[in-house]
Amino acid sequence: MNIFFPPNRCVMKGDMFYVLNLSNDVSTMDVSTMDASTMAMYLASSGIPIRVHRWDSSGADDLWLLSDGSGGAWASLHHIHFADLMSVTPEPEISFRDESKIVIRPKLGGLQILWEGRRMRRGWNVIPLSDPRAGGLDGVIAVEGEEGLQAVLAFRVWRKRKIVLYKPWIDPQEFLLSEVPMNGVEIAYSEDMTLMSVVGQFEGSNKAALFILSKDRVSYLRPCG
Amino acid sequence: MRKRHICAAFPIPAGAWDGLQVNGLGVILARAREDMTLSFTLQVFEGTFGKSSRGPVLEKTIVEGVRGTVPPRPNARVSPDRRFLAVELSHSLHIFSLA
Repeated sequence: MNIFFPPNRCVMKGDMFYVLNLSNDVSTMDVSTMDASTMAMYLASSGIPIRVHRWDSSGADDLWLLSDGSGGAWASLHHIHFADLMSVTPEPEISFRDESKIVIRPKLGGLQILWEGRRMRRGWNVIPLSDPRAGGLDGVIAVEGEEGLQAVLAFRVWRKRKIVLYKPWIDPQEFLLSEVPMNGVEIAYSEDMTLMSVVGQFEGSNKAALFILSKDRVSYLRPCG
Repeated sequence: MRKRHICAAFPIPAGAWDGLQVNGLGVILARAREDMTLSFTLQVFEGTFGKSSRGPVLEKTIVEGVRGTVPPRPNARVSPDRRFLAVELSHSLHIFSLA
C-alpha cells in the first residue's frame, strides 16, 4: 500500500483511496478500526501514482495518477485534489518551476520528461509504462529543487523492485539500493540543497541511506542499519 | 532475540533538530518483542560522506506495546512535516505521533 501526505492529510492507496484528516492531538490510532465517517474512502481508478515534491516549505505531496488506459483508451494524467472531498481532474502535463514538464507520449509508450521544456534526443528522457528488461512501471517520484526539476525516480517491478533514476543529459541509471518501495523515499531541503533518504536493500540487508541531489549529480552520504 | 526492521527514514536538514548541526538522517526501527508486541524507535544519525561506524546521536521511543506483526517488507512513511508516522502492519494500519 502506498502512503501519501498531502497537506494535513494521510492518504493510503490500495484498491481504494483512504483519506484521513490529520489533527494535532493524534498520538496513536489504529486506522483499520475506523468508521467511514472518520476516514473517507474512494474507489481508486486503477493507475500509477506520481508523487511530486515541490520546492516549497511544506514538502507535502502533490499527488497525480497516471491511468493505465484500460478499456482501449491510452493512458492519461490526472491531478488529485483534496478539498472537502477528493477530486480528480485530467491534466495534459505536470509543470515545474524551471519550465520542465512531464507529459504523456503514446508513441513512445510512456511518459516523457522535458527538461527545461526541451525535448532531447535518444531515449534518455522516456519512462516506458512497460519495459522488457526493466519491468512494469509501479510509481514515479518527481523531485523539484530550487532551480527546477532535479530528478525523476521511476519504480519498476519485474523479478525484483528497483528504481531507475532520470537526470538531464545522462542515461537513466539503476539506483544503488534495490527493493525500494515508493514509501521508502523521502525528500527535504537544506538551504539550496535537496536531501533524499532511501530505505531499501543494500548488499543483502535492509538499509537506510542519505543522498544529496543536485541537477548534475547524486552524492551518497551514509548507510545506516 | 529481538528482531528489528528499518521501516522508514527521513532526511533532516542541518539546524532543523536540536543538537544536529549537519545534515542528518532519521531512521525508524520496528522491534518485535517476545510478548508479541512491537515498539517503534527513532534514531538520528549525522550525515557524513562515506561509510562511518558512528552510532546514533539521538534515540527516542515513539510507541511501545503495539499488537501486530511486521510484514517482511515493512511499509511505513513519515509525514513531510515529520509529525506523523504511518505504518502498515500485517493486519492493521496505524498512525503515530512523532512529536
